[in-house]
Amino acid sequence: MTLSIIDFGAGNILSVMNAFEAIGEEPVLVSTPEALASADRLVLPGVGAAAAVLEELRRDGMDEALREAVVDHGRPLLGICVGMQVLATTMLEFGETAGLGWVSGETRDIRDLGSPRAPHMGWNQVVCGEVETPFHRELNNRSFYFCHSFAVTGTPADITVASAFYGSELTAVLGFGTVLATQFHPEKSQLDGQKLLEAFVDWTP
Amino acid sequence: MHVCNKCVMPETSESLTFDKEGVCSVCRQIEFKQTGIDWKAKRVELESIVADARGKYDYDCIVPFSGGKDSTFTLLYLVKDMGLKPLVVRFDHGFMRPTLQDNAHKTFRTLGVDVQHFTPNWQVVRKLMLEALRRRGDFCWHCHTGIFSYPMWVALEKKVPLVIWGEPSSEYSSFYSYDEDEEVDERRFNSFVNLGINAEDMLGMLDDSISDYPVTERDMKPYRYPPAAELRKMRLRSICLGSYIPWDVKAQVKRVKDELGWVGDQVEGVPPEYDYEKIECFMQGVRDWTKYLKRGFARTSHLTSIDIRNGRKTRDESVELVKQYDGRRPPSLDLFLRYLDITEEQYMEIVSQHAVAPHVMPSLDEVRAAGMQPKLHDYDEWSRVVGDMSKDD
Amino acid sequence: MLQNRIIPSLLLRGRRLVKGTGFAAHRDAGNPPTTLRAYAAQKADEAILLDIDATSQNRGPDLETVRLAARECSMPLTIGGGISSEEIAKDCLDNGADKICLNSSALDSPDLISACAHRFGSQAVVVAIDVVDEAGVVSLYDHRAGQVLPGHTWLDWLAEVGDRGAGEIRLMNVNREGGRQGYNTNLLDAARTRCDLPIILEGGAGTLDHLSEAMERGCDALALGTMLVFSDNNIIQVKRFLKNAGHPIRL
Repeated sequence: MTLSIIDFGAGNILSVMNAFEAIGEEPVLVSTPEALASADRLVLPGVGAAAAVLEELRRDGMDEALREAVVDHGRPLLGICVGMQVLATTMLEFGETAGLGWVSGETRDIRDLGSPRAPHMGWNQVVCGEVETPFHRELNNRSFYFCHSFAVTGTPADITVASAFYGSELTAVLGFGTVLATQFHPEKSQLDGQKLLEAFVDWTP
Repeated sequence: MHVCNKCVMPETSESLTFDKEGVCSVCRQIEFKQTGIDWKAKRVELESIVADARGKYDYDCIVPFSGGKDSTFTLLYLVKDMGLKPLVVRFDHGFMRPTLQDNAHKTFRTLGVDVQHFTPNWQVVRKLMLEALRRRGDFCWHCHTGIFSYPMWVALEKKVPLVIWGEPSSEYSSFYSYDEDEEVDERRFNSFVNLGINAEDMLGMLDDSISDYPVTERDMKPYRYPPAAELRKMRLRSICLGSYIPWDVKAQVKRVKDELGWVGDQVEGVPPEYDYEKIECFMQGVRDWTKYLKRGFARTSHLTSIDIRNGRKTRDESVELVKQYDGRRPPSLDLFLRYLDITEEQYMEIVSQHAVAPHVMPSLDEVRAAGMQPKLHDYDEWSRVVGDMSKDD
Repeated sequence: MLQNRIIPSLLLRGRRLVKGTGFAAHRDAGNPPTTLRAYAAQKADEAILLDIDATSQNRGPDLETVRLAARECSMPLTIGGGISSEEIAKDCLDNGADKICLNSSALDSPDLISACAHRFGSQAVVVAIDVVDEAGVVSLYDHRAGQVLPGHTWLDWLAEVGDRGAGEIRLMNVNREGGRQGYNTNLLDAARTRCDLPIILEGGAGTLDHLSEAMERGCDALALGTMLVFSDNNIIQVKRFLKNAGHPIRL
C-alpha cells in the first residue's frame, strides 16, 4: 500500500512523515502528477498561507492529478490544516482566492467567526456532531493540536463532521466521499493523533 | 493531607486524583473493573490473541517472572489452565530472598517449564541505585527498567511474538485505567516505568562516587527498551493477563499455595496477615521506607486499601493498621547503606530533596525516636557482598 | 475550549541535556531524544529545547540534535539558541522544529521577529524574555552578559515583541529558576497590561500547588525544568492534579 504525502515545497513535511513512520508505515513524498497517480492513499499537509499552497498545487497540474485520484478514482485522502482549507470554494485570506472547490464553503479569519484571538493555537477538544463518520471513536471528545488563523465555514451540514470551540464553534473535521480533512494537526497530537492516523491508514471507504 | 474517603491512600500517592466525593481514582477504577467489564468477552479475546502464537514458534509466549504471587499465578494459569508452552524469563534484581528462591524452584519443577535467568552486572547496578536515588528518590530504577526491557530483548532474539505479564497497572495506579487496553509497550515504559529516565539518559548521569567502575553503553542494554520498530516488525504483543481475567489476589494466592506449594513470608513493615505481598525482594523494606519518607505512606496503606476495595476490610480498621505499621525504619536500611557506601545522614539528605508536598519528611531524630522494625527471619542470609574487596574483606 | 499546556523545558549543551540553578552549576540531565521520548509518553503538550552554547559560539542550534529530537516529538517542538537569521530559523523548521525561539538575537535586532513572523507565520515564532526580580523591581536580563539590561523596560520590550508579530512569549524569571519557590505570578498580571499573546511562564516551579496557582492567575502555559529533572515528578501526574483542580487540561 503506497501512502503518499504531497510535497509542494512548503510546510513541515518531516513531522507528517515521522508520524506515519512511528505507526509503522513507509510514506513516500510525491511532487509530480505521475507520482501522485500511483499512490494508493494520499495525505495533503499544509502550513502557511492557503493562497501560496494553491499556487503550488496548480503549478504542474498537481490539483488536477489530485482530483482525478481522489474524486474520480476514489483514493482516500487525508487533508491537514491548510490541506483541508484549500478544498473549499473560496479563501478569504489576503483578498479572495479560488480554492479547489471540492466542497462549497469559504475560509475566513477566525476572529470574524467569533474567536477571541488569532491564531487558535494549542490543544482543544473536538466534538462530533450528528453526521455519521467511521472516525467517531477516534475523534469524539478527543483533544488535538490546532494552529490556525483561518477556518472553513459555510460547508454543507452533511459533511461537517466535528467542531472545536474557541469563542464559537469552528469547523474541525470535514468528511465526504473518500476524504477526511482535519483543521488540527494529527501528526502533532500524540496518542490521539496516532490513533486517527492509524484509522485513516486502515480505512476502506 | 487529603486521604481517599473510601480507601486510605493519600494525595501524595503518584497518579491519584480525587473526585467530588473525595474518592480516589484507583477506587473508581476497581469499581469499574468489578461492574463495567464483560470478562467473558475478554477471556475470549485472550484466547484469540494466544491462538495467533500457539504452537508456531519455539515457545508460545515469554513470561517474565519474579517468583512473587503475581508472576507465579500468571505462569500457573498460562501453563495449567491454557496449556501454553512459555519461556520463563527471570531478571535477577540482586535481592532475591531464600523463601522466594524455594518457591520458584518448586514452581518450575512442578509445572515443567524452560527458564532463562539473567543476573545483571552488580558493579553497574550499584551505581544505578545511587544515581536513581539522587534523581528520583527511588533506587529501584535498574529493577523497573530491567524487568520490563530484558524480556523484550529475549522475545526479539527468540522470535517469540507474545509476552504475557500479570496485573495491569490500573489495578494500583492511575497512569492507565481499566477502560483502555494496557499494552505493556514502549509507551507504557516511558509513561512511568522508567521514571522518565531511559538507559541513554542514565549513562551520562552516572559518576564515580561509589567506584570508578567504567559503565559503557553495552552495560546499559538490559535497561534499554528494544527499538520499537523492530518489535513492530515482528508484530509483538505484550499484554497483561489481568486485562483479560479479573485480577483477584486472594483467590490467586490460594491457588499458588494449594497447587504449587507456594509459601508466604514475613515482610518488613506490614501486618503479618500479608505474607504474600512483595516477598521477592529484601530491599522491599528500604523501598517502602523511602516512599514513607517522601510521601508519608507505605505498604500497609497500599495493602489495606486493596482490601477495602475488595470488601475485606473497613476503613477504620485500615486506619489503625496504617498507624501501627507505616512509618518505622527497617533493619534492611543498614544493608542498603553498606551497598551504596553512604551514611544514614547522607541518605536522609538525598531523600529530603524528593519529599512530596504537603507531606513533610521526618528528621533523623524523629526517625530514631519512632524505633526500628524487627529483623526478618532470613536477615542474616541476605548477601553482604558489596563487590569491593576493601569493604568485603 | 483551549486547554492549558504543560511544557518541559530542555537545555542542550553539546549533545547532552543539562540543568542547573539560574544560568550556572549545570549537571547532566540526559540524552535529548530519549528524554523527549519519555516526555512524549508522559503526555507533554509541547517541548522546548534550547541550545545554550549556540549564542556564545555564534551559531544556530545543533541541527543533528534537532532532527533526532523532532523524531521523538509527537507534540509541537520549539527550538531555540543562537537563531540570529531567517536562514538559521528555516534550517530548524526544515529539520523538524514546529516553532523557533528568539532571545538575544531579538534584542539585538528586533526586525528579525517580524521577518520570521512574515516568512514562517506568527504561530512559528516564540520570543523568550528573561527577567530578574530584585526586591519587586523587575528588569530585563541579558544572559550573554549575565546582567540586567539598562535602558529597556521589560514591559516596553514585551509590547514591542507583540507588535512585531511574535506568536507567543516565553517569560522566564531567572533568579527563581531551580529554586522551587514557585512561579512569579505577578509578572503575569503586569504582562497582561501590555500584551495579550499566549505566555509560557517559566522559572521556580517546585510543587504541584505552584502550578495550580499560576493557572489560577491566568497562565495558560507553564514550562517545567527542575521539577522534572531533579525530582520524582511525572507529567501525567502533574496534569491529572491540575485537571482535578479544575483547570482545562488535556489528558
